[in-house]
Amino acid sequence: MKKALAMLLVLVSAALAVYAGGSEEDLSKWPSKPIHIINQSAAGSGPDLFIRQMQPVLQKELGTSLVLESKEGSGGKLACDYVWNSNPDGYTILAHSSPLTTVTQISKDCEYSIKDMKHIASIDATPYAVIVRADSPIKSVADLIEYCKTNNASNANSGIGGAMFLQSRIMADALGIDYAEVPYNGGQPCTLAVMNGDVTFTVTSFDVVMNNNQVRALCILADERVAAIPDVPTIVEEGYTFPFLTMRRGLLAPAETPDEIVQKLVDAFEVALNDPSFTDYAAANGINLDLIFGEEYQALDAQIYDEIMQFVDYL
Amino acid sequence: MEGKRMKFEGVMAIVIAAIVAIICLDGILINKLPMEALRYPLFCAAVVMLTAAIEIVKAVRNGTGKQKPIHKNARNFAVAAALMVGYIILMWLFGFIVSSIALTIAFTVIYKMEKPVAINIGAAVVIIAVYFIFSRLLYIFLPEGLFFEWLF
Amino acid sequence: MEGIIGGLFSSVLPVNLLYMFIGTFAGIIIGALPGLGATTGIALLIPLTYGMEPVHALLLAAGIYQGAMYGGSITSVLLGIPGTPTNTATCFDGFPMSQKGQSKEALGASLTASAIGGFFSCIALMFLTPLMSKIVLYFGAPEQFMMAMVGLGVIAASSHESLSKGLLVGFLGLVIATIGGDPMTGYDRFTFGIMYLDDGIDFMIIAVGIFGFSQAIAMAEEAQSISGDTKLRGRLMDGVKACFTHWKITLRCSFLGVLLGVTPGAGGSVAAMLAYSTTQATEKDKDTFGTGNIKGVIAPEAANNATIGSAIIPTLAFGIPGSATSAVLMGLLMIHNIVPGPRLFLDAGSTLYTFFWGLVWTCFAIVIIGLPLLRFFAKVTVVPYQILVPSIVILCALGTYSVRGYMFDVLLMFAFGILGYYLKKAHYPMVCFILGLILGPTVESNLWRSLIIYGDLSFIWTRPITLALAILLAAVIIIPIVKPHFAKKKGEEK
Repeated sequence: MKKALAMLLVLVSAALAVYAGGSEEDLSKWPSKPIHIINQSAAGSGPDLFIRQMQPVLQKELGTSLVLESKEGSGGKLACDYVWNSNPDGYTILAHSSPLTTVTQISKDCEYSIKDMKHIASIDATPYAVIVRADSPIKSVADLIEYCKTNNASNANSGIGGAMFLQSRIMADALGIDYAEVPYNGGQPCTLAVMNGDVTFTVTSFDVVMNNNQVRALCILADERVAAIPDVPTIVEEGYTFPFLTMRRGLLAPAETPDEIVQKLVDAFEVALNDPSFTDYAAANGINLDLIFGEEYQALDAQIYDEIMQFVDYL
Repeated sequence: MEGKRMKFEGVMAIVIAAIVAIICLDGILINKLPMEALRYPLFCAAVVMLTAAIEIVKAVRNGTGKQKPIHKNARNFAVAAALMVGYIILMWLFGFIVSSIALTIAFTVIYKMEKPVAINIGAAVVIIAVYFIFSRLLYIFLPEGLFFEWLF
Repeated sequence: MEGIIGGLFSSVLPVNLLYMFIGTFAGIIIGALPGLGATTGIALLIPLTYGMEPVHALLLAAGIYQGAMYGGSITSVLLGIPGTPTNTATCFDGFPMSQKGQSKEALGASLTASAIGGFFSCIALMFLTPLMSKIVLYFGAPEQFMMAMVGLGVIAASSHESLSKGLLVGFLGLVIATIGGDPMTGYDRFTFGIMYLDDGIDFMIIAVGIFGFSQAIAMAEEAQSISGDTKLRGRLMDGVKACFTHWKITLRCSFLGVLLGVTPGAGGSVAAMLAYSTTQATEKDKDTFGTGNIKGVIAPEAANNATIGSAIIPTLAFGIPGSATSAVLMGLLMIHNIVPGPRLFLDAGSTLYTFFWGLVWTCFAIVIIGLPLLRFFAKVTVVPYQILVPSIVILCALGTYSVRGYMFDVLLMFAFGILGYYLKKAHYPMVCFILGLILGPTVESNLWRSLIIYGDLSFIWTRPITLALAILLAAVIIIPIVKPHFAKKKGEEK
């Protein structure tokens, strides 16, 4: 018995020694250990791939390695909560997708909002589009309105109360049409549902048509056409205008992260995002780059948040 | 009906029914979900209750006064269960390394193994190695324990 | 055709073979650790491959994918802990075989079955992609619903002791599967306000708890090593031969896996469970399943590896991943500038086919690497319990924590372990519980989706595939009930 106790004491001290290694950080030496980037979606999805593409340049700029973790679920809330509650020492960053995060926060009555988090960089601005099957008889917005009047049309969304759902409801009101909302688990099953004919269309980010010839974009829900698919008209051209949600993927840090660290992160991301290795990748995959950093991004997100608050009735 | 005890299977049926009832309680009382969200789970819960009732009735009918004991060796089971509970509490408080090493020590002491010192040192080495492999190579950070987080 | 032949020659270059073997070896180890799987493995691989040629990165990934799918069966057989969710079904008969001292046979069988299943899958990938990708287009919500219902119907067939027991735990599984966010209404169900339950209970937590943890406690209680006093018997090659002796099972389950891999809504775990349950239901010695019948090892292992190649089909054809692992694989491809979609087969040429052939060769690689390793691993079953039990407990905690990084999950695993321990003592069929758990979400969401789209149940008879599956469902439920009746009658007549 005594032997066991003695060993236990030895262990506790050994453990103490081991843990003492990773203790309080000195700001000026930041970064001295790996930085964790927490993703709201699973490995292999959009924002995750962006970061992985940038990883070599980022790691060189920051001087430390990056660890990508995915905490998907609860509409992005799990990842958000985790980063919000983590140590504001610059080692935990959130890779998020707006308006997904904002919409989730509103529909789930979050006590905090992303307006309070420190903004680092926004990568892209991907507008939504109405996606139909390649062989669908619907070829224009007028066709769509006509179809909804005479048939049981349906829209695939990524979940009731989510961003795609919200954009769809806004559009339905503006166009004065009625259709069923069929919820799926996330964005990719929605595209699949259009492909196999379960639903008539889906309102999602336009990039799903980039590598998939089974679906096509009917119209872009934005003020301007998209460079990657220049032949697709915008819904504004077809005569309708209403609030548009734009998917913006970016990075946030916890609210109390010191400004010097945020600035270092901003600088590193600026270099990585402008590096040809990333811009080429973006061009090849039809990603609409729209780089916004630091305080500009903070202001933009605040504006988007207020805009979405107006639609709280839909949620 | 004297001397008739329920077969153990009936006991478990009651346990399962209770678990399902508690789970459903959240939807009905605490979070008050709308009927749409509850239709399917309540249907499944109803089937559980029905089959549990069938099992309970069967178990009571076939129950006899004498039965094989449930635990082949109740003392061993109790000790093992207590060790597991201790392990998890220790892990929560003191982290992976301390709790795991404590567990191996406990086993060598309680189950009287030969050469306990050698085995424990070997185990400690493996455990610490695992900790570092997971954190440095796989970037999975094993629990550090509330105690150490409070210290630092 | 040129691409295929070019890829063949390129894939057997020594350098490429080396990458394949390294990947396979790493994959086997990653898969063997509960909580880690092919998905994590490939995700970890990505940053390491930046400077590499795309071909090498892909061959490493192929090795990891194949290796991890197989590696999970090692702990399933030896310790009764599923290394990955897809290996859960392997525990049902694999672990009892180890307890009888037949671990070498079981390991040999699972190795061979995995290699054969994987082989068929990769051949399908290479030659049948255009054809098989069409399946994606025909499997909508009604079909997925009916397919999941067939899976649930198999519960009736596999609860051989008593139907009510099987239904009891099966529906318990369905209820537990509803914990978490409801995709149809957006509400969080049965979470008691605990944030950790918002996303439901991860399958691995339950599987590791019910299989691994409860075995550990049982072992401590009985104070014996896994195989007890039984000496190790049987040879590795006996297991290998068994796959060929029972070739019908091996082939059937491989095809099942290939089909389910490309089908949306079904993956490795569903394939393995269905393969296991249908084999159990249709074999004459069905009552020995669960006590160490080697067919119960061959069936799921053939099926789960058979989903590898076919899950890659929709990923490459449409950019829509067929499984979580193929999603990460897609990420790896995109980073190396191989973009999925219709242009892929036209543009990428030899790199792509080298990768496909790599997948085929890795099937053999797992056998070559596996055989020597397994002779050594099989001895685990005689390790004294005083060392093994804490090791298993630590492994379970490790694996559970690795999934999400929350202590709460470890606690849940522990609770499920205790529950599983008592349920097994009470002879409740855990197969049914797992089936309910895995298939529950698919059943519910696709039923509602079909109802929203059609407004009523007409989808059952207006869609040919759904109708066929519905008939299958009826058969699956009715035949096990009616057959013993007819057998009795025949017996009486005589």
